[in-house]
Amino acid sequence: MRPDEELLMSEWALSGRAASDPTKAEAGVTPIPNGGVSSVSAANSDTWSDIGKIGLASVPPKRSDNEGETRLQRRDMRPGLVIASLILAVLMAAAIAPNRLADGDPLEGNARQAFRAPSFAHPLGTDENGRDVWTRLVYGARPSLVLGFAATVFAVVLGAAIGLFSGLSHPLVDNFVMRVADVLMAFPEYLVALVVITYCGHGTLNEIAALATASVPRFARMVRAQTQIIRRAPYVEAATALGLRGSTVIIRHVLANAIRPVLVLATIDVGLKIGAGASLSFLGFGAPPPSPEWGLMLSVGRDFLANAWWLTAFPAVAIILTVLSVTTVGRELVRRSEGRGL
Amino acid sequence: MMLWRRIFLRIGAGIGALWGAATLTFIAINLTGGDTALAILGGPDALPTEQVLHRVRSEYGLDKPLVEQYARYLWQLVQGDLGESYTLRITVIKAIGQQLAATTQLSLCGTALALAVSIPCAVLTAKRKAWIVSLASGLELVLSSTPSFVLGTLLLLVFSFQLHILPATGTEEWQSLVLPALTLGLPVSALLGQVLRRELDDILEQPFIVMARARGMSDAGVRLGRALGHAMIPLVTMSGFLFASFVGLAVVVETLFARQGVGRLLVDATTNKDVPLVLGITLLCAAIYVSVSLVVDLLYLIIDPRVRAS
Repeated sequence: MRPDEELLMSEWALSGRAASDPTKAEAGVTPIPNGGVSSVSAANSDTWSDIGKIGLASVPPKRSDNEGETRLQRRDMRPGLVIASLILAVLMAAAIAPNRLADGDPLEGNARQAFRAPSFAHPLGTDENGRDVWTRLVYGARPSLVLGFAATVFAVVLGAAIGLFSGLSHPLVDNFVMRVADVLMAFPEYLVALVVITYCGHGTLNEIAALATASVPRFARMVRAQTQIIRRAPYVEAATALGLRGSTVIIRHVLANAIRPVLVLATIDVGLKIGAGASLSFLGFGAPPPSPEWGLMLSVGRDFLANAWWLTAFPAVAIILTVLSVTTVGRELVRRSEGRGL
Repeated sequence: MMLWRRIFLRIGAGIGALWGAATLTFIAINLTGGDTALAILGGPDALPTEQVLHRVRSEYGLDKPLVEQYARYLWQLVQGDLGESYTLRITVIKAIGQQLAATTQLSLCGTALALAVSIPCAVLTAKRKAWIVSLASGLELVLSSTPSFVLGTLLLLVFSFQLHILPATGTEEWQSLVLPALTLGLPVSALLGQVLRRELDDILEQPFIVMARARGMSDAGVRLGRALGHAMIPLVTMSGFLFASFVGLAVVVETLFARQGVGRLLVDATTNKDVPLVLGITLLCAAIYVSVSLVVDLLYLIIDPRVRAS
């Protein structure tokens, strides 16, 4: 299988595959293909103009991109993009200062107030211990965002280190590292996360480690592919010829240019990881019960589906909106970084 | 002759990937940190005597050097032996075998549903008015961004607990399969729909389509008779890979709907720290993935002249 295909497939298979994967995806993880990305073929990416693009090709890679369709989508995405940015802003606010958006304690219950339907006093109702659902949702934003960002950052840093090392090493070493990455990518990401949890145990930190580990090979592959292109670029040769130290060339020129497209793709990953983290919490591998985590709230609310719909409906909406807005903003960034949105 | 050489090389690479996966699994087993013999006996709580530990070690070959254990492990794998589950006290293969039918049934239903939704949707919406396209792609974006446990819970809430038309759990009647199949299939159909519409958008601009239209062929005829066939190649590839990743998706779906299956087995094994069972299932998924990609690549080599020429 061609490496560029594998990149794309692993996006879908996460899971996932995502599920999500794709599996991953999903995998209770829902995988998301990079809508605008897949048209750039890796085959022609060794020229000047293609530096900065990431080589993800559709299967089989043969046609050029359909510019009309992208323009159309771009125009129609505008209102969606604005809404997504607004939602992200609210989420950030909730993560930074939850006490400004909701009063009350997310953990303190009041048995007499249990199972109140949404009302003026409790806009989203109360749960089985009389805790306000809105308050708990607001306080749940921080763990969700932290989990998504931390897992992605870990994965990118580790992946970049391995990819850079591999791309700059002797071809034999490079080949070996990439074969190992290939083999690792045959395991659905969601299952790798479960394996890590089997070894490390439950808890938020382990959840982050599990999700990060699962996508390290993917990021390593991306960075390595970029490194391979950039190390032969004229400006790197020029920098070397000018007598710059090797480490300076690697950090200032190779790494800086190799990581940029990967970082853009990683923004979409943040959304996926938030979803995947929520489903790990849902399965009971995250923080223990009283904590206001969205996946956990859904899991507990499942026991009261018959009499309290608001216990599941609102956390579900929160998760969907979060993943959706991160994905939308991420896709826009991908589109712009490819020079199509400007 | 070149073709045969490439086929052999590809098969070799597939076997190499399987061997690599098995090696990683072996490393993972030995990374457990704790004493494997102790884990077999039920963890530190079991307080086994030194003699029992010794007997278990020699029985499972744990006192042999690592290289010998590794060779033994590979040999057992070739024979289809994935080891024994710590908690269930049966072989991993048997444990998976008991649950495989339920998961396969669910995966097949999910795949069928995904194809049945995505193909008509993409054929109807490709190269239509802007609002139709954005409506369809918006729906697809929402569906593919929804984690399957969220989708499943919402489906349960609406169809089982508000409308009371479908059962929430159970495995007997066909109705109980509807919601799990939807939960599994809908996000996948969104992905397939996105890919298929992009393909169709490209294909509907090709000269042979213009030619067919110029000859007076109807729009439906062009879409179904000419374009769809060409767009199916990536779709078939993708659904193959998605099928391979369904065990991961089944983890959530089977837990949510209280169904039997490999995914449920995996969750229980993860909770109980049953390392051989977790790794066995994971290795199986990797093997399915490698086999699917091998078959797909070989099919491309044989069917698609463009790949053969490159």
